[in-house]
Amino acid sequence: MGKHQYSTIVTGLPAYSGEWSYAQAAHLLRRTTFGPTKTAILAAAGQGMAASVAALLANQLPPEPPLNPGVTEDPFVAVGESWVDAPVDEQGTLNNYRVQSFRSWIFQQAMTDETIKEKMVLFWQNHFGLTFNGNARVRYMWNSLLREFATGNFRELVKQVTVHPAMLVFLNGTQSSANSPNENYGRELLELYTIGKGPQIAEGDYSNYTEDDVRALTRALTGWRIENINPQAPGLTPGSFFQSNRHDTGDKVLSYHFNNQVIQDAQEDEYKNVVDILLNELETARYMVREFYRYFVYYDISDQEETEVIEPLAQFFYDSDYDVAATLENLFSSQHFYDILNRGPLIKDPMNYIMSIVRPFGFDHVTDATLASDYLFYQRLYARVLDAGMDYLSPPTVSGWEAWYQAPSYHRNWINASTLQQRTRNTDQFTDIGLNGGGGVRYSIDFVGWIANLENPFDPNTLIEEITRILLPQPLVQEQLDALKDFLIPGLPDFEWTDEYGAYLSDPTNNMLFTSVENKLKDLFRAIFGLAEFHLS
Amino acid sequence: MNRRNFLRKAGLLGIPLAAAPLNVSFTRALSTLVDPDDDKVLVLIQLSGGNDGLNTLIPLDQYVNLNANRAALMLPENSLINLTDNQAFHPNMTGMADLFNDGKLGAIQGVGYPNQNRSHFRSTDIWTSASDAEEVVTTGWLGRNFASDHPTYPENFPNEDYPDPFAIAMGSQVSQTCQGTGVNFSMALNDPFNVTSLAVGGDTPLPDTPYGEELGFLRTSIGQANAYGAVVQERAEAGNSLVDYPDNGFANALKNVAYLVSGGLQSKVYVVNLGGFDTHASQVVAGNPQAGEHAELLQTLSDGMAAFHADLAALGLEERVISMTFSEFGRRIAANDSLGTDHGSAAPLFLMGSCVAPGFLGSSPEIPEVADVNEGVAMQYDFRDIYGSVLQDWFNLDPADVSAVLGHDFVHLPVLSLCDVVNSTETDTQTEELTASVYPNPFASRINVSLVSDGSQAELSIFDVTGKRIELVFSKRLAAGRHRFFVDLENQPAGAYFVRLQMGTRTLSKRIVKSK
Repeated sequence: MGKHQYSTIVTGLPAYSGEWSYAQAAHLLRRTTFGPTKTAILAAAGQGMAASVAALLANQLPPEPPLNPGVTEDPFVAVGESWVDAPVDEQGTLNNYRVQSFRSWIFQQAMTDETIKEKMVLFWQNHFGLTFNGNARVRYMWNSLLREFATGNFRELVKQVTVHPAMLVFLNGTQSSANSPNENYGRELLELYTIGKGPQIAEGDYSNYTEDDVRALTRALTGWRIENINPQAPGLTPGSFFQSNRHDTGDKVLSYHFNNQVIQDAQEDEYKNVVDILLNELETARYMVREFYRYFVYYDISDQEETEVIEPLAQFFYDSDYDVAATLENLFSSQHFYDILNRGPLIKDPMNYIMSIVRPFGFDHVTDATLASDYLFYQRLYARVLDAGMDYLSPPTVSGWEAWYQAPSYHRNWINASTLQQRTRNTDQFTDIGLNGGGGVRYSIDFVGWIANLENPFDPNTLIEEITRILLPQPLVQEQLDALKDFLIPGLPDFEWTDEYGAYLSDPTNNMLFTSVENKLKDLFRAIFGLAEFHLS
Repeated sequence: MNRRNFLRKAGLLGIPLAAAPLNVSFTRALSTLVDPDDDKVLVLIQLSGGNDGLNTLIPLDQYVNLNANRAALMLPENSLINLTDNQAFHPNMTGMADLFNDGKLGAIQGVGYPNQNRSHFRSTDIWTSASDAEEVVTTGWLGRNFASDHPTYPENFPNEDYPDPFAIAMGSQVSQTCQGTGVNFSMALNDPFNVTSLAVGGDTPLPDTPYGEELGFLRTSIGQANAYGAVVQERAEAGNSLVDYPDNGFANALKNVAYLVSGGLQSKVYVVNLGGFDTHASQVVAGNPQAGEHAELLQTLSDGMAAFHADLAALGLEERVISMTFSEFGRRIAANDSLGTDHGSAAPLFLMGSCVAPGFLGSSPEIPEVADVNEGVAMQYDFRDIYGSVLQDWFNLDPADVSAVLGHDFVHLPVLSLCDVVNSTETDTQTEELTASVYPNPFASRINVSLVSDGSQAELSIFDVTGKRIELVFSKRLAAGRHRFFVDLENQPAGAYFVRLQMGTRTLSKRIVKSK
């Protein structure tokens, strides 16, 4: 059992060699981060494609772990300290706040990360579709694994996932033994996590594997157990271990799809052999590359794209020994990725949507923010995304979110009357008053301060053009720009904006002038956020 | 249960009588606000940009002085449409003149507020929020009404009791008048017969690319997702319009209002916007003051309103609908050098419909021989008194509730009638004219104001020519009889001022000059 051999030298996709400027940089960042700032777009435009892609994929130190934001009743964790290694109480009271803290922390990462990492964590969160309803500490461990391998080696990730305590609980691996095998994980490993389920071509044969393969893999994976899954005393760490007497030591014969290979007993290393066998199939690379493609490019894959994009990129992924970073680098440096036809048609998922409202603006101006208010704010962001159809920590099924797998509509599944109304309520609330961080701290967007950093905020035309260039994936037509201007200065000539904005700037502490300008900007931004275009990336 | 009675009762029990300051957020339910069983409709006509009232409603008794200050703009006297001996409309306003002659138009002179702000944004905020000039209020005067009745909106709306939008803003933009504490109560509506074009630019062409495909999908979805989209379209299709309207966006919006009201939409408020009144330049055509941007705007306004009210009459809706214009400010008395006028102060406000008090409230603005370069039209009536009177008389609100929602007491003005149409030329809405003597004029340091009180609430104040109130001499109930007041203006610079007196519903504005 071993790694596949490098059979051919392939170079992946044809490289992009066209103009590199604002539009290309913005496209790259829109697809790889949660709503880029003007500063980030300009920086990427300035440093060129190669450096920009490299920066997105650069290794990052793990972030500081989530903290106790203000719960004084936690006997194990002081306010401001992290709870990720701490025990819980029997009643689960402490766990409740820690789960909230964890939710906040995830959105804090999404808000602050300048690389692709958080986008990839969400990718894996969807890919594995895992929900863990227990201890926040285990949820954090799971999330940390996804973060560690965000752009790492897929082979190593799948191996660690296979014996992770959260997964052993989620898909019943801990209950699976030689005498009583549980196929749950073995099935999803094939169907969803690696090679993927193809059309049924015979009884129990799904093109890429058979029902017998499910049973064989299940037997090979027996023997793994969880421990300390809800530690209530210091010194105990949730984990997994191999229990030899629950392991099926017999030979496991695979189907013709795997050349009838035999998996022999390898005790606690056997699961690694299982993963290696699955990843030895090019079909696994194809399956994964299609998923990358749908996540980062567009859901509709034509026959031509299957041949010209998916196939070479899959080969690259395979030949790189499943190096995610290298493969994404290839994709993000390709002619195809910057093809104008691929710019703009991606419907934002709820997290992307919500983050793209707030992240371009930032909250640096909230100077009275505290740890507690930050956490409450991020918790509310989490809830907003949940309302819009995505409960980050609880994908609806093991398949993940429908919009990322359900043909033929795919991303359009994010959009319906209810979620659209929810999206509009969100944009209206963020535009009008923002979110409450408690203790009198309000996280509202500083539109007036923000436009001061634009190229020419005095001219309503350049102002609106630049705002839409930052927030929207494609330029608007003139008719739309004119319509937007009518929100800023309804029925007024252009110079009145120059006058009004100038009057405010010359008397910036005048609250009436500020509010007047802010109200007009709110009207404008409400309209921009209300554009159908704003749902696209 | 009769909801109306229920609300009335709740209102009687639960309303604080004292008016709260506006900056206190309205979180408590005030209950009996816009009555859901009442079928009255208010159509607000927003004249964006600041309408030149002096070129709209021309004071014939001031014609000579007006001509001295704005000769380049001045309409020939024989071109004007005389309404009364002293008042005339712009020659393009035949439609509104007909409404006047039919007793369906009331004009209130010199409408503004103390300390006129001449910023479009700020003054629009003041007019839409009904705040004081010095106060920042982010809710709208109608939005507060709706918000106090429905604090949880839009959660669980629409519902069985409230299937329709509270207010409709014709166009792409919701109306600031309907802004609640966190959410706007108006639905922006471009075309009630095609609600899929709700989003801005919803009808611009789509490129034949994946981007265009997804955009098309989203636009359609957004149109369909509007909570009120279906009901609005249904009502519009059930509605009717029986007269010809001019072919322009403004008239078309009014026509759509007629369809919606006649189709049974229960929205209480419609806001129709007509922009372009910011006539700093080319207000008139050089050498031909009857032509130009302002003339075209007034034509659009007047013809649209005439068609709309004719339609309401034909549809049998006259007793349910009134229209009211507003604009953030009037323009200055003197013309500028670009055939235009700059931001000013007060201006006339028009109410239309068979239920308005026809004729005039207030008197001609006083135009001096030589107006100060910054001089605007003096304020006679506070716009919030008009709002309050409309809320009380038209929406049948308790005066205490009106005060609470407006944030201060208001003077009830006779701007609405009992819907019994009479010929306005036979009506004298102005009871005995308010008089006072102000002397000396010109003055050196102080003036005497001598007046006869009828025993009602009175207010005396001094304004400068920009509309700033420099002194509130008193605001109180005066005993009946003659009173004399001295007002010391020693510390004020030389120049023109206005003495404003209000007694009950009557007002008086007198221009005085402090000599050098």
